[in-house]
Amino acid sequence: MFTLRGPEFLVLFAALAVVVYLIVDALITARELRLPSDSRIRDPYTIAYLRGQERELLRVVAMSLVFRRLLGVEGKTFLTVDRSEIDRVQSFVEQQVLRVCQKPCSAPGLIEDFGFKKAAATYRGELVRRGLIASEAVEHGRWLFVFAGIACLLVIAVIKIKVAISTGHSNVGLLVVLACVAAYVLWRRGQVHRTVAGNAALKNLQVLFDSLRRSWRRRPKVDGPSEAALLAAVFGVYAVQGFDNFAWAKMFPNANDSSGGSGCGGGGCGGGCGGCGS
Amino acid sequence: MSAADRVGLGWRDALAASTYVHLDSIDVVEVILDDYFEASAGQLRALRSLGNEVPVIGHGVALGLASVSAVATSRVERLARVVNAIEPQIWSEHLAFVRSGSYEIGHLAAPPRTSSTIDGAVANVETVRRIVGMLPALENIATLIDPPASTMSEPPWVTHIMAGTGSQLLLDLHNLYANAVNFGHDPFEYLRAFPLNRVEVVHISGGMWIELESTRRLLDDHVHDVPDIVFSMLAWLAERCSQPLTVILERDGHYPEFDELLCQLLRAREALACGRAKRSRETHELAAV
Repeated sequence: MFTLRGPEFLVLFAALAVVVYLIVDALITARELRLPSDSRIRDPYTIAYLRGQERELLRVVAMSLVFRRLLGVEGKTFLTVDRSEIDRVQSFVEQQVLRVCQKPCSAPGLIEDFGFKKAAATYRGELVRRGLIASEAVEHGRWLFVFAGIACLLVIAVIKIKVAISTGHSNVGLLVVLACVAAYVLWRRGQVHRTVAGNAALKNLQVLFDSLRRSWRRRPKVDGPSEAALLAAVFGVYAVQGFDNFAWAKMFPNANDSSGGSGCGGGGCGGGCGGCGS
Repeated sequence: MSAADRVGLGWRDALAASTYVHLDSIDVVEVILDDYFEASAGQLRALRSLGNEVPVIGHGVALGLASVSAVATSRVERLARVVNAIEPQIWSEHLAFVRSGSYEIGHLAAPPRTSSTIDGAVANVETVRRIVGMLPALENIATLIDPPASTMSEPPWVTHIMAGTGSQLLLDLHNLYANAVNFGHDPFEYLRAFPLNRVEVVHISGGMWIELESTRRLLDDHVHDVPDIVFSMLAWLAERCSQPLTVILERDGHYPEFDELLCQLLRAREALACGRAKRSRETHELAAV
């Protein structure tokens, strides 16, 4: 195998990488299918966390509060409309968001807020307990398979590179790139926050409400905040009429976009939003 | 309301989100099986997952059981695929005919009430039971015209079919009410004539008055609120039945605010509770005597 010519070995290596990925995926799936799980989730905020962790939770909470006119939007920041409502809302995470937004606060600032993180942690805990989000033990098991797969591919790549160099060939760049891509793809498989049961639960919800999502924009009447929050939790806030515009998109820059992390309150609350108005 | 009585709603796409977020107030949902004949395995899996949240019962629409013609096995097999995938606690079909040969009528029609249609219905239900593996509950339908060539009235016709098939009855109270008022019967006397000991599921819905050949008729359309008299009939039924009842509110369009539908479910609960309380009182009085 290591005496194959460059292009032929690259094809073989790519095929091997696919096989290794499939084996790793099958091992992870088989292991997680044996774990107990409870996929009964109705709460939109729990569903939102399942779909996209803190970021999606914040989007859906903010959308729900804006929908109910408890939270206003000013440029790229949120602002609590009426402070007296803070203690009247039932949900702890909503209270935290309203509390922080007593001063103008951006979405990235909110995500970094200690109170919000604390509230989000309760959703994470609930989903881990139900076996829908990977616990540390589940993640540990996954990484064993992932690292074994990566190690297997890297060992083969390194041996081939050594053989190539020993026979006077130095054009190993493509193999290095291919090995890195394969390792990255495997690494990403280990990073999925949901378990197999969590993926299935989310998929089932998306299928269950797909007809409603497709008809939502054509409907003359918008349903209540609970229905909007459920749709946003299952499909994203852009599935909800009125929240699919550009201004709303600007509120939540991509996670990798560091320019959005302006914090809250015009610099009046050091360390992100922690402690604003509390 | 007896502990085992349940009140629920038909699962409709337009109401799906509202239904889901209000499952605390809904004991059971009824899905239309025909809507899932072409469903993918993923769609059936999703529907089955709904059963983890709330009890699900199934409802067939267009088998056309009450006919002298044999029901098409290909259609029953498609229905069986859905029933087997979602495993409803109960499933039901109408005592109607909907096609003749390859001609589809397009709605549920009342067949002539004769011994031939009784025999046909019994044979068809047996075919369905064999293929699906589970007997359907059978539903009385509404009709605007008295079926020509009938040799008996609706209650004995239904009673004979129940006896012949061993099925339970899905009693649609608005259908029954419409047939009663359209053909000059007292609704409660008409109800009394049905085999009430076989009632397992109850449908409630609304309708509208129309003019048909200069006669006023009540059309069961599922797009209006449940009239008061149907709740009274439900209470009357609960008073006379000892078995648990599953009551389903059917709504197929002109959807009001969901709170309004929840209000109608609450009224159904109250009607059941009222009937059960009366029954309980009467039982105690009899025991005292």
